[in-house]
Amino acid sequence: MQSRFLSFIIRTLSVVLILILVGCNAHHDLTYQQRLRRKGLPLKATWAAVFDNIIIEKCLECHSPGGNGAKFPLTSWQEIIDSPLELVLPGNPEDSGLYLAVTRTDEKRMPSKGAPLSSEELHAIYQWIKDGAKAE
Amino acid sequence: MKKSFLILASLFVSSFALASPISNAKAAEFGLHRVERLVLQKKAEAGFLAHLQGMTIEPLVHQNNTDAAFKVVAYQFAAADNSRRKIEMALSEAGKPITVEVKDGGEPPVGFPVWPSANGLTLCEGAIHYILENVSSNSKLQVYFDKLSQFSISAGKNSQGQDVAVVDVVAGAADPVLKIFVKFDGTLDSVSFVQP
Repeated sequence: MQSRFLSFIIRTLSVVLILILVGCNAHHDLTYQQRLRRKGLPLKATWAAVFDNIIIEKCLECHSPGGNGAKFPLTSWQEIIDSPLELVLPGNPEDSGLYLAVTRTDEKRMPSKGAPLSSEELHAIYQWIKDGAKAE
Repeated sequence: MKKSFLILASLFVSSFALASPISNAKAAEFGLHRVERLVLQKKAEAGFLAHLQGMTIEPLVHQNNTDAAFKVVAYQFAAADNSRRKIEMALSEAGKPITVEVKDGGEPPVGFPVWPSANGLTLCEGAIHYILENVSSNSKLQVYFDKLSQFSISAGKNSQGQDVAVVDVVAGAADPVLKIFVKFDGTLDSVSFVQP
């Protein structure tokens, strides 16, 4: 009886662990895919709008797996917030690497291909960071 | 069943707990990015781009992953009085800056290399990127990836006699010096290994 109960517990825990492991590994891709489906959001100072309108459109070609800038991925809010490059310092756009990268005027300005971001796009990034760079 | 459970449990723990510190070469890259950012923010003067001579990277004994794990010092060419403008940084295991201190020194003399296109910091960056991007396919670079302790830039010539920037990369005292020849636009020219 006791060994059947123990076996049941181990089986249950194994299933839970498998689900957690699969969930952890899929997290970034899932977020990315979900975001891709939401293209068309109006440009506002929110993470969803910044990601959909600017990052997906102008950054992820390089800053995602397989791209030239893959070592500095921008595929999720968490990656951007956790970046050792301090890409985003909530409340402090002037010192945030993301904002500095898109507002610099030399040959290292981002995006490296195409035109610089528009003033509306820069404002959306600035205000999103200024407002705390929240995930919602 | 118990064995499977143990394997799964190990995988679960390892996926969270085994975040390893960045390599010395990566710390150097983060150090260069930080110097460039300080200049952009006008917290350090622009001479750190044009007149950067090199950088030292020293791993630090530490307890927690939020403690200082690297001491990184970027320095300009020396002034006539032998003083140098420096930026001293402490970086965490992940490469995040914990402390940054800009230290004043004299103006470098006119004799330092004047780079015709990309600035000195970008040329150094090109050399460090060579190590980071090629270590997986060239085992001779592993020691510099792991133990890079210093690099410095100077003007020189490649094997064809063309003017280039030469970045000398030092790992351990007994390791060969890795000389990375960088074209003035920041792209790789060639490399060589020189016994100390």
